[in-house]
Amino acid sequence: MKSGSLPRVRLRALFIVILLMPLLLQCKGGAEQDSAGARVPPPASSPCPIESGPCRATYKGGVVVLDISPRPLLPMRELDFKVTLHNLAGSSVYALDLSMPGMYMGPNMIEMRPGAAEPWVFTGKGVFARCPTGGTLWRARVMIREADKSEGEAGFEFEVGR
Amino acid sequence: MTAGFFLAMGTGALGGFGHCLGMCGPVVATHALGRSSLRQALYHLGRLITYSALGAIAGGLGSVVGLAARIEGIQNALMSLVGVAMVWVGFGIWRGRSPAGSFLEARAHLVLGRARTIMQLPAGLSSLFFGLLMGFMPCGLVYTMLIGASGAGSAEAGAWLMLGFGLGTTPGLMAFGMTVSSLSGHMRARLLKAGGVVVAALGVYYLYKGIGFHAAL
Repeated sequence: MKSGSLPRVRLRALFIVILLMPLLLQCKGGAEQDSAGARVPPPASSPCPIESGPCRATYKGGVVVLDISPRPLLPMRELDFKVTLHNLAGSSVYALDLSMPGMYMGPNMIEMRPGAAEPWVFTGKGVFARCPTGGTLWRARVMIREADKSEGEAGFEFEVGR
Repeated sequence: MTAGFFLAMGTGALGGFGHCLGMCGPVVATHALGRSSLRQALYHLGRLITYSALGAIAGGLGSVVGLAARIEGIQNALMSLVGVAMVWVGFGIWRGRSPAGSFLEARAHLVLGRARTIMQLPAGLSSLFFGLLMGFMPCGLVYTMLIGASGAGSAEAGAWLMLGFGLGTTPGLMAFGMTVSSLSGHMRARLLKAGGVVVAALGVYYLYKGIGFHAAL
């Protein structure tokens, strides 16, 4: 081997790795993050077929139901988000955090408000951002404040169209 | 300047070293090849101007839905053009042409065309102009920030939010571009050939995404 050929090979490899690195950071794979960039565990049941009806998750002996409309769910469209709490007396939903598993998409929090007639039903409006690389799997974290002011969350994963 | 500005800047900084390299890294690398730090800074300034303008529009409208629908076609066309330009540049590099000149020539031919001749832009301003165009590149993180800008309450607040976001993304992308640029300065012919093939391959990928074949497959 000629002297100097090894550094040249290393330099070439480094250059190729740098140029290819972006492809390794696309919407599929990578770290699990919420919209604030923190690592979070995946929800118990995923993905939920939300296109065919509301999604359910258990939470501390109760049930949290998430529904999004109008269907089909599409990015960059204003959507109505509805969360219903069952058997969770005194608990309330204050926000919904939307994120993409495996890709940091920035903070996307939806403020949720209780219904006047049905205080266990919470609604809000939000928009899913479009992932140009074709990713469609989204995560919604329902942020719950309980009667004793402690906080928890219920997670859902589902597909959103392109 | 509000807390939203600094929050957006933090979001940009967080995304700048990960997400933004994923989408904009190849473009930044292609532009940075053989270019000075000033030219790269002008590119990012252009990007910031576009982000701020989009933020102002989103904040003024109070909705990102209408804005997204209006610019979607422009974004896809732009991504396709960038893909074609990167294939052009990649093969130019592979054939031994100057990486700094070939991309500008291709871009000027494809995007600026006669407008550049009329405007007689100095070389540095072409980087600024390129940055202005690249601010329209489809990007999930930008979309999310525009959603935030639409709820900022006013055009001014939307512009500040997007400016903060853009500023946050700049250090990571600048560092990436300068790294690529410094490497390119020491490259020899064979190294450039390898890099040219990679750039061309990434260009095909951009073209594929820009045309939207992925939606039909």
